[in-house]
Amino acid sequence: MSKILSVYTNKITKKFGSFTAVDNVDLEVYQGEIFGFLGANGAGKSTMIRMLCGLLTPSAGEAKVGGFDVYKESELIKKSIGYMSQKFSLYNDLTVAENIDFYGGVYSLNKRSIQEKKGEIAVELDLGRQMNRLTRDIPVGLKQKLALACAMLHDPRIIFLDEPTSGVDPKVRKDFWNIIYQLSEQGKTVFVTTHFMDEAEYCHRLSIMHQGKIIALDSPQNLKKKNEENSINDVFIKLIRSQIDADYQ
Amino acid sequence: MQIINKTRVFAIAKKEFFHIIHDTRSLIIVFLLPLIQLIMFGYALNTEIKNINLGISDNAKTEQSRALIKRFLGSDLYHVYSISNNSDDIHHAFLQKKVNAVLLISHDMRNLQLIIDGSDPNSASIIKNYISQTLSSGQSIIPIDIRTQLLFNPELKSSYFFVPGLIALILVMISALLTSISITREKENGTLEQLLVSPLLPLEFILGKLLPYIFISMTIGFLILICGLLLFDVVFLGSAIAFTILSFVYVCTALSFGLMISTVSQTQMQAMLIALIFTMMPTLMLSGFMLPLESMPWLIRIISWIVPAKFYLKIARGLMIKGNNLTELLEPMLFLLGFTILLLSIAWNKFAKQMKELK
Amino acid sequence: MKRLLSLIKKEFIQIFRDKYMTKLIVFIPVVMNVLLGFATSNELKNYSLIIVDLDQSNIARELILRISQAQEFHVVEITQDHNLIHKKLHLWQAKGGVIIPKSFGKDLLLNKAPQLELVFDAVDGLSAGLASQSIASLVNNFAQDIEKLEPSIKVDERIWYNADMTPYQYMVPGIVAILVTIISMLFSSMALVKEKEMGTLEQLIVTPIKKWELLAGKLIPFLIVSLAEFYLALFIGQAVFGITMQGSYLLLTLLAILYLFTTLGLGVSISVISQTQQQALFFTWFFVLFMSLLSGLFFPVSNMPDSIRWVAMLNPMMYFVDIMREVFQKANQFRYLLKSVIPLTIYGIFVFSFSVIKFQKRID
Repeated sequence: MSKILSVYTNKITKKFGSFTAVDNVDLEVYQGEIFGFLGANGAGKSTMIRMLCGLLTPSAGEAKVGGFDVYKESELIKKSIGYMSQKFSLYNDLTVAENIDFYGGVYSLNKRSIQEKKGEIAVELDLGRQMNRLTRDIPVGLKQKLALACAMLHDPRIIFLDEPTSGVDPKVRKDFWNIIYQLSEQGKTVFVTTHFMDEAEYCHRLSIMHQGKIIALDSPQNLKKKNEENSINDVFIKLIRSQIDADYQ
Repeated sequence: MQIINKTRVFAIAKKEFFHIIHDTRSLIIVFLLPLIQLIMFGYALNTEIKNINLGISDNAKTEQSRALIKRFLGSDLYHVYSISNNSDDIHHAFLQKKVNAVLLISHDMRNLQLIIDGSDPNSASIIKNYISQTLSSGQSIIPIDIRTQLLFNPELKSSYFFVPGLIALILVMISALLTSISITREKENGTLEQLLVSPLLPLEFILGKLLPYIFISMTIGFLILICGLLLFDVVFLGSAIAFTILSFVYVCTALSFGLMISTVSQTQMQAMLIALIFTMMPTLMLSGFMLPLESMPWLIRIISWIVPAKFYLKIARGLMIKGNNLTELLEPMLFLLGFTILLLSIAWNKFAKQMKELK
Repeated sequence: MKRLLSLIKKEFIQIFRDKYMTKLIVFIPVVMNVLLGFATSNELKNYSLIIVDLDQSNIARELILRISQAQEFHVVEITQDHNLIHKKLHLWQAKGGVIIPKSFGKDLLLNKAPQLELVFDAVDGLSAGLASQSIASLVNNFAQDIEKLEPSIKVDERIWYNADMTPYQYMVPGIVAILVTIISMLFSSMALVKEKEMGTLEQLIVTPIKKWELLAGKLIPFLIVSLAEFYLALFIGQAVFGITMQGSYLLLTLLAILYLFTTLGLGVSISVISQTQQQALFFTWFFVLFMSLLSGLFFPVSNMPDSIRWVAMLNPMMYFVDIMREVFQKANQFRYLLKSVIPLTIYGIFVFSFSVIKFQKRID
């Protein structure tokens, strides 16, 4: 693993009124890593990603993405990252080709590059005649892959994926993770949130979030060894349970 | 004929109600804005002319002409300016909006020329009226002694005319707007599909959507009525119960209209555009809110028969200002009832068809 | 620049792909013009009267004839029961009554001032006032004719700038103004909120796209669509009513764009404070109603009490309606328009800048 820091946070916090969504989180993610963010719904994963992408301003703490400060240099961050939101974020009333054209333009790609990319995407995703279909009419799995492709048109170094595989069938999930591996091999950092335990195993390193705090951070193998469990699922349950018990005392 | 399951209807109604309650911002807007509007417009809308800027060119300069001018000077209504005979100057004065009307008194005082700025025909006719009145009040020969009695509104308060109108306007708009997006919102968000897999009947859905808004609209109506009565000194001669019943029917008509819009629109934006325009414009202009219907072309008068506000205006003004009772207002009520049934049927029909297609 | 063009292209694709919406946008100005343009007159017409004739002389009958022949009035019933007036007025079956007393004809011929009683439903105070004046002058003219008197002073009434007092020349610009306001505000407030709701806004904010590009990408298409609507409504209005615009089209376009800056800015501001399309709708409704009613279109602003007039002065639509009417009816030269153009400009700059500043490339 390279030693270049892609993502760095120090005591980063986000409060919404009296509710603390992210509580003093320290994080270091290195270039080329597949870093997973595991946790139940509401644990703070999405809030974390949004702060790192410049969508939310942290309430406290420091954070740097790609070397840029999230408070002052968020526009520079946006140039070097790709983001795929949890909600489906392509335009349903545009065709596949129109969506690619649009996002290509938004990332300031010139016409030729967009055409090239379109060709690549068509081959990779086996789009064939779907290019001119309305996005709302293509299958969900294809939509997700397309969304990912559009988020990466500008070849970003760091990619944030917020629950990218929710709602798709196992085959598509597998395809997705193949893509993620390829990206990592190309030297890109992939920061992914998920609540699928088995996907957690695919990450280089993994953190478990609970009520805004990180309660564990290590490689999947180490986590399993340390907690004497055979699967991340069991590790997760054990750790959460002990957290809840601790909260009660 | 389908047998409606009450539990399911109430389930929909409850869900809708919670939607509304949880959207605090919308809630505040929906209750607060109508009140603000009533207050604002109640004060703003009146047709009494306060001030006429009159330019007079006295080319006779006799005692008689001066006496004539004095009549205008003596009244608070007029601001009198001296103006030349010159046509260009007169144009200039009009273009600069210095004067609303110009009175030219000829040399021999036999001819008066009254020129009125016709670019605002509404005010123009009123101004013409006032000036004519002031002119003729000086005539020494009054052949006939006219006694005038003003019924129902002896002090000619504008509020008597407009406050019921505002209630009609605000109620119809708020109600239609509320329901117009209720179904389209679910279409857009995709949550409608979820309901289609349930044993829910189309009619149950429609009724369930209607119920919570009846409650909300009636509350809003009640609030603006109280506000109107307190702030603007409007009388309320009729029965409160009759008013509640009749307003209930009106509210149902408006809500049904909104629901119908909701079923024929595919996106919220379409629904909103239709709802906004087709409640505001007809109510403002084709219902008798401001301008009397009898003075409009027959085609417009026919169209006004499908504007619900037209009937409610008679109800509100009749009940509040004239003290009409329920029997006397039966005709407008039946029309509104008819509309409600018609609109609900259309909504039901459309929705049922769409549900079938989706399946 | 390229980014901006991508945004504009996307927006147009979305607008025109929505066929229903496109049809609405074209259809509404037609309907509005046809319906509303005709429905605007404050002249007295067909005011329903009940005449109680207690005299039944030839003179009385002639008076009744004259009244029923007048355009302003519509005689609903002629009766001898004077209790009928109150009853009919109460039941909304007539708006006024005239009671001709027993010796009316005789008294008139003998030059004894006979009495005439008028009763009006004063709920519609304005019409009552007009009717009162109208009957008074009609009756006086009648009396003068009978008594063969010459009115001492002849008044020649002229109306300038709208010679046949057609309200169309007056209302059509107003209708156009309202339509354009609704469309531009609806589009600008709704579109941004919809992307917020759908989640695509988030996707856009996360790109290097600049704030002004994002806004311009939305607003330029809306500006164009609103202008198209403006002209559509204007041309339809002119065609349907056979009126023509007197002023310069170039001037009108520039001023319309100026006005649209304000309405679009308002729409953006609304979208910033709204979380859902429903909220945006209600805010838009509130503004549109407020702007329309206090624009001077329906009620002259000079009539309003001072406190409200203050508020009306803050209404950009008032200035725009003013401008529209002036340019439309009078081929007014620019210097006369300045007093409306200046506030509009200030408004446009202020509201637009405010909304741009408020719009953040953030979610919170």
